[in-house]
Amino acid sequence: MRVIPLEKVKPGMVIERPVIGLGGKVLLSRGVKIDERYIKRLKEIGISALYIRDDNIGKVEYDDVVSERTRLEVINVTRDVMNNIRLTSDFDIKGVNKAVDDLVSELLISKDLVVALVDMRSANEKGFVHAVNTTVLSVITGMALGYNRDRLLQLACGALLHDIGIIMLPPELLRKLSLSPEENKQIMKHPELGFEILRKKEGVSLLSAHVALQHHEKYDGSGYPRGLSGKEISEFARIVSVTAIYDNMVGVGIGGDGVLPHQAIERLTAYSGKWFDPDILQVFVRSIAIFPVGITVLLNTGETALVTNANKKFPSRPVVRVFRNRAGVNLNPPFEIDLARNPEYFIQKILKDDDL
Amino acid sequence: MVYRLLLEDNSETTYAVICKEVCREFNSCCCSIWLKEINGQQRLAYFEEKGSFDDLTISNLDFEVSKSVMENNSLLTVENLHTDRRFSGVKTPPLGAIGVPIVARNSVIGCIILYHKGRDNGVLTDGVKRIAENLAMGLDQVKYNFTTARQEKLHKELEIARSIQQSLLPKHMPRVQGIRLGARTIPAYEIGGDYYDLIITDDHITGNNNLGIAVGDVMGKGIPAALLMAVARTVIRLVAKRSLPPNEVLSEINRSLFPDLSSQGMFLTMFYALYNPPQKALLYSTAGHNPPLILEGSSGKIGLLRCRGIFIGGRPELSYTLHSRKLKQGDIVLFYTDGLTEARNPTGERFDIRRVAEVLKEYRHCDVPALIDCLSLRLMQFMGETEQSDDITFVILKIED
Ligand SMILES: [Fe+2]
Repeated sequence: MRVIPLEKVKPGMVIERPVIGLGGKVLLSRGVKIDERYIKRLKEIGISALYIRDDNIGKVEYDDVVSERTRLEVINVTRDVMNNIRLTSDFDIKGVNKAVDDLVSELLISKDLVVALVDMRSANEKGFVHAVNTTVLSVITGMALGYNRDRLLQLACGALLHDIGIIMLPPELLRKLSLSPEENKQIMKHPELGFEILRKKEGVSLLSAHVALQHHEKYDGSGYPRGLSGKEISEFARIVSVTAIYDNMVGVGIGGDGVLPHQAIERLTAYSGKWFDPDILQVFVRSIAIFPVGITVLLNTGETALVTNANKKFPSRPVVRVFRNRAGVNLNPPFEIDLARNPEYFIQKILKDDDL
Repeated sequence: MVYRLLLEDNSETTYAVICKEVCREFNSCCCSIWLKEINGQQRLAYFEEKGSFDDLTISNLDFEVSKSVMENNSLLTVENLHTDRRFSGVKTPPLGAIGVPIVARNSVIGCIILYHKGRDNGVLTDGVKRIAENLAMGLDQVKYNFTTARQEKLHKELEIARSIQQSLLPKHMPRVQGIRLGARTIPAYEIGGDYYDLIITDDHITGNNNLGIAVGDVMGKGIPAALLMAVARTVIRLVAKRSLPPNEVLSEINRSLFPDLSSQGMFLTMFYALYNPPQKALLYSTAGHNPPLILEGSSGKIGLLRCRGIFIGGRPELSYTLHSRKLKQGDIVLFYTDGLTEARNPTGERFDIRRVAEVLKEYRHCDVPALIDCLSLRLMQFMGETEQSDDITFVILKIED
């Protein structure tokens, strides 16, 4: 299972991780052989890279923190909420609560796992997928902070709906590439618009609603709408302001304009104490895998390997599968090295597809 | 059998055939042959009955088993891997294993591993031992065919010096209350004189155990530098154990090493720090070594532990200035040798202390192991294809939050 940018995907390659398409449906499931038609379609909907099976590497079994089923459920609920708000300014809270409950339950069960897959979302689905990923990352941060189940549920609900106010803005505004100062001001209304919807909604905790209101506040007081600073900003909002930006950075996927986790860490840390609460940022940075599953790396020993599994305790020490020796010869079969058990090995370079 | 095959053709393909033949002869399911390298190890040949890319259980386990055989340089016999404690943490099938180191000229150059389903009444072990002996000469030869042209110029003696040198570096990080420690050495092809040590000192006056951190660099390369490093290490350990203040430690080391150094026209630079856990205080002195970087966890501000002092071997009697610094939660101190800052990219630019500081700052929220891995990654990506001309060593101390 390797991450291959779409422009390098060739007919005959086999999908190893399902691709979610329009409306949160599985567009291509595991095992599907790609043809020209699929490639064209994927290009149209804006998928930037795929997880592809590689016969020189073998099958990669990876447990994601959230099952595909729950991920789809949450994506669908989010889409329904957005559509309903657009049409009726109201939404069904029961569906949200059930989805959030399922998500948190799964995350609590898989507490030894770490988010280590690069997400290949399509441009059309960005909003829903982003909401779900932000929620997953926020809950994981909440778990690291020692939250109990009830707090995790409130945090998850707030994270999932943090950008809900966007729906109340005129759709043509969101499609624009450059905005006038006036239009920018309008966009900056979305925290308050979202808060208004959530505040009045029965069954939504005020703590969750505040995430929508405060997720653009910055730790040094330079954010909006109120210019709150430090601990004046709710802890939930301080978490979501980190996770939402992180997901936007890494989310587009390799080959697109996304960055790798270690690069995202560099960029986020540049704003530690300015935009972000340093303590929250630290907890977050330590809960994500630095080398995501599916990337190819060069080890200090000169061997080429694929990252096949992440390690929660040591985010920079994944399990890697050596498939090419230092002389450049493919190994039959490959073998794995658990970097957490073998400290003399380390990753010296992340290889791009062209290097292979 | 082995003799006959190797006489015909001493190549990788032959070793693959040998693995297969060994399995057949001993009615076993898997066999592998490994080469030990300066850094890491290399699988030379592998055969697994009904092996498949989609089930790597034995192949994965084989890495751990071969590593342990070569590290311990001793025969390994396991009746059932699945119930053996040594390999807990790895997925193990219910197989027996026999691992035999392959030795040439008194050092381990590789090993052969056999996996079997039945019990061994000694016949298997004897058989594998015999094969290991037969393989030694051919394997020694192959090892040098296998290495890249660049490595070929390394003499065998140098390789031994290198492995001795590596074995002198601390294998485990000592546990010290309230701090996290980590270190990395990235050896250059040509042998260098980098050195670091972490020493728990006995303080008889306060009854506290302090931590001594020594980072040094012997000016010069090759076997003389390696030998001198080995001598220096012993002296430093002895002196440091007494928990003297760093300036006295350096004076004492200079006094002991000066005669040897001056007669050889060599010298060494060294930074020595003593960390006191209850006070969170760092005492330090330098003998002409690069000043460590210090990052304040609270503000993210970065600076140098500036100090001056003459390198060891400069004069018979030297005195050094003692400095001290209180450390706070989240503070990070990076000790290093100039290999880190002098590393160059393909256009000849230096990695430079400024880049090191930048990277340290960008990863300050990570745990020490991740910080070390990210600094290595950034450094190696910067260097790209440039050949590393000097050893690179760095040690990180972080005050826990
Ligand atoms: Fe927003």
